[in-house]
Amino acid sequence: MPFLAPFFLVFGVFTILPLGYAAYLSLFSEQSSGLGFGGARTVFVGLGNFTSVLSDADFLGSFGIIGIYCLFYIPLMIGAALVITLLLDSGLAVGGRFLQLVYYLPNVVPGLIAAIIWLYLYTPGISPLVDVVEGLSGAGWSLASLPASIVAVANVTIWLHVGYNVVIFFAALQAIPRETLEAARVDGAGQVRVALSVKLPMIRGAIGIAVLMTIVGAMQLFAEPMLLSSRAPGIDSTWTPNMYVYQKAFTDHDFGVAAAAALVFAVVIGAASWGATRARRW
Amino acid sequence: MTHFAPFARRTALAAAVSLLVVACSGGGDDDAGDTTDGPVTITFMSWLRNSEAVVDAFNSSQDDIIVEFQTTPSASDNYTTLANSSRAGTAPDVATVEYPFLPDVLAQGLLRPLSEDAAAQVAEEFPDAARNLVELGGETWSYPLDLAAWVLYYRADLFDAHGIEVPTTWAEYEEVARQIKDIDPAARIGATTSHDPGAIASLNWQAGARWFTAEDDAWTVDIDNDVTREVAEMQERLVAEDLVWADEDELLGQKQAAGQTWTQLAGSWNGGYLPINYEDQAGLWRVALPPSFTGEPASAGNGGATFAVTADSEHQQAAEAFIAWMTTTEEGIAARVEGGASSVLPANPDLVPVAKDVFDTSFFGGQDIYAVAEQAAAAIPAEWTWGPAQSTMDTAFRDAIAQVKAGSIPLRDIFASVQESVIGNLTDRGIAVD
Repeated sequence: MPFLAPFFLVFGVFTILPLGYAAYLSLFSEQSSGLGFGGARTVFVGLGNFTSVLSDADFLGSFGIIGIYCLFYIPLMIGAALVITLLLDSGLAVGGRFLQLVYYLPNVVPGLIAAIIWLYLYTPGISPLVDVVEGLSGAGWSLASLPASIVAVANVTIWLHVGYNVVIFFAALQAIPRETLEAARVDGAGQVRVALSVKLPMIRGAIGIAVLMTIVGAMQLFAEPMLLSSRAPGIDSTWTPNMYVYQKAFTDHDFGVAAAAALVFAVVIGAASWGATRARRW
Repeated sequence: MTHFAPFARRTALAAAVSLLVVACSGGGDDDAGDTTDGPVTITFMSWLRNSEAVVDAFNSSQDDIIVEFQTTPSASDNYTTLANSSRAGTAPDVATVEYPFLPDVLAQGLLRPLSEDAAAQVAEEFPDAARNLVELGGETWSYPLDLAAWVLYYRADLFDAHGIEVPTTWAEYEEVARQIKDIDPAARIGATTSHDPGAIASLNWQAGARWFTAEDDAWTVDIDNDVTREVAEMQERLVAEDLVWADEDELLGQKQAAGQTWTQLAGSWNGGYLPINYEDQAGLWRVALPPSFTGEPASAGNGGATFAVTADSEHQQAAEAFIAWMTTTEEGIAARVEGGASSVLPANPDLVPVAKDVFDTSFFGGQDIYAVAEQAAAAIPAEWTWGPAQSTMDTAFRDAIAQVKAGSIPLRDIFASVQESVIGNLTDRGIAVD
């Protein structure tokens, strides 16, 4: 199968090789001695980094947080994308194509830039949004609690990515044969009935793909909470698994532990993706 | 005429620098490669203001060394970039390392000690306050650029208009803070020191705390101590009674621009930033020593940069010659201060007059801000040492400060968890802790 060679070459160089390097790194530790002024030397520690990662409450805690985030974010994201797509497709919305573009537009903004935009929108005294929320809720603005932090981050990520899923769903809807929809209408189904009983089941495949992509993307959450942490006291430096890995490598100078954590995390993501693919077959 | 002066100076000093380079290469003993024909090219990484101008001035002043400048966006990116480029084998020859980060960078093995000649020059030309922070473990690791003494910038016009004296002690600071709030409920004396790990450290340094001590091949870490807690209680009180601003940075900037902020505590480097950020307040600001706890003049370090040769550099002599030019020659300092973009207080006292001549002090009403900075520098307690887990400490502080902002824990209680993180990190890295 020589036509597959380019794929395996790229896959090998950019996926397998880095994974192998991470596996290699995860077996070593940089150790100084005395006051540390002599620099560090690399020591083989076997699986020591894995035991230290798996017993680190911060690392395990970051999975708890990403789990709660996924439970909140994924249904909301997929639900919002479906509602928007079905509305656009129903012809109820005026200027469907234009709206499609509007929804997609944030998707071209890099996550980092989006986080900076929302950073300002989350800053009391500067943001009009904060004033509106305070006015509506009657309570003070605070992103200190876990639910508030999760909502603050999910708001940014949904704003960013919902347009992508809308495009996928919209394309899938176009593939539904017109006669099926006509038949439903002739049988007396209204817009809502058509959407729920015909359109939704017929784009199940696209929804499954979108859920899978959203799970993988959501678990790798990094740039948004990293930046928003300066406005959301509820977000600490090891809030998500990726933030933990970053913290270990670049703040604590512990590449061995960072590599071990990254590998454990990769296994978990792999398992979650597998689970999602299995679920699609049911 | 202004265009001719630097040019003339530059040509005049070209000879001086070549002499310096020749002198250095004559005494060298430990590296090959620098004495070969043709100019040596070295790289220099920094985020400091005017660095590019300094490099240009150096390059046009001599023919033996070509410096290529690499910019890093900010201090916070600098150390990650340095560590990563070192792993990748692309580290610059000359790195910028702030005093607080020097032990941390050393513990990662990123630097090489200065040669004997360079170490001797540092010992001879720099004051103890700077040397204490760059001479570690029996070696000298870098040339200090500035002393970055902590000082109080204040709005002289507002203090004069209301006949209020600038506070010289923290007790007076609190009192004046109340007066200011009474005079103008929309104004405050300044921003809290409790949201910035750097300011917290400076305040503790000034108060006489010693967070790190290196003794007998082991570190003593004492971040959670009585002095620190006492200082924290004062900081808490100022915030609790709404006597200082406790907003996010962007809003603090707006308030300062609107004239609602009477004072600002910062390092002497801030003299270069204020005129750019608050251009229309020119002539209104002055500088004084920071309020002290005892009534005796006392300051602290607040940042401050040094230049070091990286472990991977193959051109130690050339790197040292360039660093020495930047930190110990009139031309090097003049190039940095030129145009007022930087207000560094040279750590080398002989060069202070040079900076003073070149820096435009009209923003400070012509005040001799260098005299104040020198006074402050002389009042920095010399016992302070930074520890080898600076980035971990910084992050631990930021996480804890977020909790303080959210009202979950009082400031005085965060130091125990910061200390725990620091000791945990040191132990993980095999560094001895008592």
